[in-house]
Amino acid sequence: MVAVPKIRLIWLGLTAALMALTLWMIFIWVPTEVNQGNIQRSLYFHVPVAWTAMVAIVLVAFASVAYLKTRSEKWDRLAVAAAETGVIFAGLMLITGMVWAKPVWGVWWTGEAKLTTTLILFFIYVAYLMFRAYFPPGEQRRRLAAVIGLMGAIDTPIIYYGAQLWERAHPSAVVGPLSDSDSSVDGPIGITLIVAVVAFSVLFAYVASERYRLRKQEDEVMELRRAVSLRPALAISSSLETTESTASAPAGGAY
Amino acid sequence: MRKRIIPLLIAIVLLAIPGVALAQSPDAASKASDGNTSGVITVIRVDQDTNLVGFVLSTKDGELVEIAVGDATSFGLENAAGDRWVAELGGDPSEALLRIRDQRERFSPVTVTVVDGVASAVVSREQGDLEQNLGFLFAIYLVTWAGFFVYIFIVSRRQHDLAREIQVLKGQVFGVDASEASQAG
Repeated sequence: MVAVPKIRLIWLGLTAALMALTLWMIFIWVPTEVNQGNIQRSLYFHVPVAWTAMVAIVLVAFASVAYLKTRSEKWDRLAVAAAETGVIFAGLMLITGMVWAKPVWGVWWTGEAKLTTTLILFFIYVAYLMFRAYFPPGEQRRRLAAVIGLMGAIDTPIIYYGAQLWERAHPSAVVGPLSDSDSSVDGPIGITLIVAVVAFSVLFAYVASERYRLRKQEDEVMELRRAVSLRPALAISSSLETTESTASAPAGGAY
Repeated sequence: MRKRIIPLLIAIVLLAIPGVALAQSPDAASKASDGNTSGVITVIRVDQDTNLVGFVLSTKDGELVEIAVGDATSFGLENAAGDRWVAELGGDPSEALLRIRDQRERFSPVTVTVVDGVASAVVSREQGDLEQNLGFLFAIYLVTWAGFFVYIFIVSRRQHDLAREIQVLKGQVFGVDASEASQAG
């Protein structure tokens, strides 16, 4: 029990150190890109948040499958944590992309496939969270939310391949299996991008773990509230039993 | 009502994603009018033999302009190292395609002179204003960090509130004082 806060503290420290290194590399170490100028530095934020947003939806899908298979609440908690953290990263991906596009493309937004499917991903996250917020708690909500989480993952490969499938203004992949040798980034720009992706992945893991912990607390509160609501009934039942009554305690509780 | 939610969501996703694909019309760009047009290259058009036949420019105003090129189109394009390549399309079509792709991938702006609906010259734009974007850069970092900090603050505060509520509820359930319950863990 004592080791848990220490691990969190180390994790937080690691995240802060990596972020500090990333910022130093972005603003001091890496040279200014010759064509786009300083606005290109925004891509060291945009690409990592896009990467983590997609990792998040894959994690939601993975946790959803695991929940449907095992019915263990820990997977449901993981799916919620990944979805809520994912919606933050997806929102930031859209905003940073739009602010970059304005000076480079001349517009905030184009209706091309890569951008539109990314917007759909954001709405899938929102729909998932709204569903969870408005549907009554219980097994049915967890099961149906898992199905929605799985559906969201369908969008991920479409986003990834979007720039290749429909060649438009959005640049093709510059790292990973889809990048070709001509367009791939290397040198200081490539190194900075990789460090930024690692830093944001660690940040995502930290934020998602904090959200997971919060979800666990929420479940604990729900259980305790249920126990509190049952107490008078149990007390009555207990007193009735002591008076040798045959009446049974009422079933059910707050949920 | 609840039984309809999931099929509805499935239908929305299944319709939305192919809908995006169908909406990607190749004719979104307007034809270039005679004169000079500047912007960044967003789409490259090639024929069946992968010869360059045109490209789409995204202008500063966000307008997409379709540019057609011919054998007489002359190029004056600089690569990242600053080496300038000057030639006509008919003289070295494969190099022209490589250079145009390079311009596109680097978001390097070009100025196109159009005569009779066909580009007569495609040159690297000498003076762009892409270097003056510190305001946009500042906005991106401000929004990103503000987003993270606000979210982490909300999560942290909620954790704190719930920890207190758990203590109180444990006290009620186990019939001990909240502070005793917290000491007991």
